[in-house]
Amino acid sequence: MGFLSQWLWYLAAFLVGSAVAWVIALLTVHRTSEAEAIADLPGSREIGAR
Amino acid sequence: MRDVNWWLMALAFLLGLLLTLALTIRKVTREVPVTRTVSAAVATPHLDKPDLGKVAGAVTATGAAAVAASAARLHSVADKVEQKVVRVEEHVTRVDEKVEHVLEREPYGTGSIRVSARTAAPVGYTIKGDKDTGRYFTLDSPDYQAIEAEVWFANEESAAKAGFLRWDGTGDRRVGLISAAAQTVVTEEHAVVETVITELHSTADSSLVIVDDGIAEARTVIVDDGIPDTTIRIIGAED
Repeated sequence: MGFLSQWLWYLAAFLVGSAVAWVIALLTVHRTSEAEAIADLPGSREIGAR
Repeated sequence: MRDVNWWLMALAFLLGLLLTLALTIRKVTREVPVTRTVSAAVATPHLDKPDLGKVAGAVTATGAAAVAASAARLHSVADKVEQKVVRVEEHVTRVDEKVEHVLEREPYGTGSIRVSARTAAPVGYTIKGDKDTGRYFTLDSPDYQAIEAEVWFANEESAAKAGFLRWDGTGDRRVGLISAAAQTVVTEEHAVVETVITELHSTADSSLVIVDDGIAEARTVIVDDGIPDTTIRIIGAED
């Protein structure tokens, strides 16, 4: 039982670390629209259409 | 909770953090909207349309950008090669002119060339022109070797148009001038014809008379130099 509970704690720590990473990603990487993405890369449409 | 190893707990936390970050966050590569026209960027005109479709389908957005960049590079390389070829061609022409001692190109219109004296016949020019006698000498002339060419002609027509007379006198230099005039008639510049004929009046030994004055309408002009059997007919555009 002690062995299993230990592994559950390690799993919980893993999940907490994963959740922290997800929060970091959510805060640093912003969602963007297609129009904004194209506006951020000037000339990309011309390159694509060439 | 008491018997957990805190080092292992920290390790599990770190693993969760790093693995999630690694799997979720990635550096954005330059993405380009891919349309069918990306096939133009591939710059493979020899491909059929279905192939282009396949290419367009297969090329990823980043690939298209890379292909476009490499196509642009290829174009610039091709331009440079083309410029070099042009330069080499110019150089070859200069070397040719030096080898042949070309003094003047087309001194007597198309098909004529002037080279320095005692130079071998320029390539493509076999007829010798003698300015003093106003005659041209073909290979079948007995004097061909003896004559020192002041000008070379590519063919008899060019020599005749330049006003030179055939060595055996079978041609008439005026035929050349008049045939040149006839070519001008095709452009319907009749005034030029009249000018040429006036020049013939002044240069030819015998006077030339325009028998038919229908220059404006008929486009067929008969020129007579006074001798009955040397009537020269200029045929214009419609005949």
